[in-house]
Amino acid sequence: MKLLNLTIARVDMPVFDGEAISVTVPGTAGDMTLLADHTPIISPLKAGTILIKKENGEQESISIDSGVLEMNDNHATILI
Amino acid sequence: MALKQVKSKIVATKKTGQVTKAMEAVSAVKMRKSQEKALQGRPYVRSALRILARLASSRDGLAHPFVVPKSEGKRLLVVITSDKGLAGSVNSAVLKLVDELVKDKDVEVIPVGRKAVDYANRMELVSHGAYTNISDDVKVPDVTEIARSVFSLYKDGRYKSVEVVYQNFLSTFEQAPTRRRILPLDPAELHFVLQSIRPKTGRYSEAEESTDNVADYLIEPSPEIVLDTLMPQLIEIMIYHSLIESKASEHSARMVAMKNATDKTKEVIKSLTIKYNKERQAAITAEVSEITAGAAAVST
Repeated sequence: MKLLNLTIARVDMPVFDGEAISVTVPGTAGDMTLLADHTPIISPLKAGTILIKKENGEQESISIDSGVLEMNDNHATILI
Repeated sequence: MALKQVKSKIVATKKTGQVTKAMEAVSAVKMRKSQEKALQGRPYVRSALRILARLASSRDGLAHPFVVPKSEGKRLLVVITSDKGLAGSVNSAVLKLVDELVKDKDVEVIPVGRKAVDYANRMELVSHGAYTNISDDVKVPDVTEIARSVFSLYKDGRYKSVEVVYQNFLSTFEQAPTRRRILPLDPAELHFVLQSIRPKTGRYSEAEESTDNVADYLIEPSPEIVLDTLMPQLIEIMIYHSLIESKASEHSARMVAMKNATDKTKEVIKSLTIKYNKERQAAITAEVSEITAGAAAVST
């Protein structure tokens, strides 16, 4: 299964950098899940939890207050 | 110079040397911290700028009030300096650049840092607020107020552009005063900034992927809403980034300045010691010749 590259960064430190099967983010218009090769998208995020599903079946969650999601060329960048 | 005076001068110089040495050590620690921070912040800022550049160059982005260039109005400068001096030319270099810019009258400033505030008062510039005492450990909320004020001023429509002037950190020994336009956003300029943001050497200096492939973005929920929420956020980050860069520059420059001062005191002490010894020898020689002359006078 194809994986997507995910970078989650905070101003003072990188939070997550690696590959994932899927990532679920709290978009301002509702939660959405991104898989590999998602259409290029830019969306602001609201307060909530980011859920990352990793290749080995593990899940990781990160709670945020706000943020921005950008996806392009199979690389998702989330700035929180 | 009397022997005693030279002696006390040596002591005084030694003490100064101790102080500068201590300051050097303190700055070295602070420098490492703020350099780390500045460099760590760069990938984030780069991503933020990339998003901003893509948004700004999209079809809907080009019509946004923060992107449309204006020809009329004043210019607003955000001048970032340190609070304290004794840091070589970091502040004066920034202020020199500002000097050039304020020659035409239509410039107003937002001074950040005591040196900038003093400068604005001295030059009797129209300034909006005065921000001093920002801690070395800059947090995003510290700049929220500055960003907000930039926004409300720009929204009023009296200004045609907002620029930040700060000291960009290149390396411990090299900093460059930099001017960057933050409003209105210019996609071309953003790309340029993206290229120049990479440090010259060391970690984080590896080449970054090119940013030119502007994909057709899906913008959720709608371009206007995204631009309205993102622009303030991203511009805040740009100001924040300028601030940490300027902190890193300040501490690096101070460390170098203090190192030079410490080296200089060593030099001065050396030459003073030679002088002291010469004076002392001269005094002894004079005394001995007096005694021998006296003895000779008595014996004849």
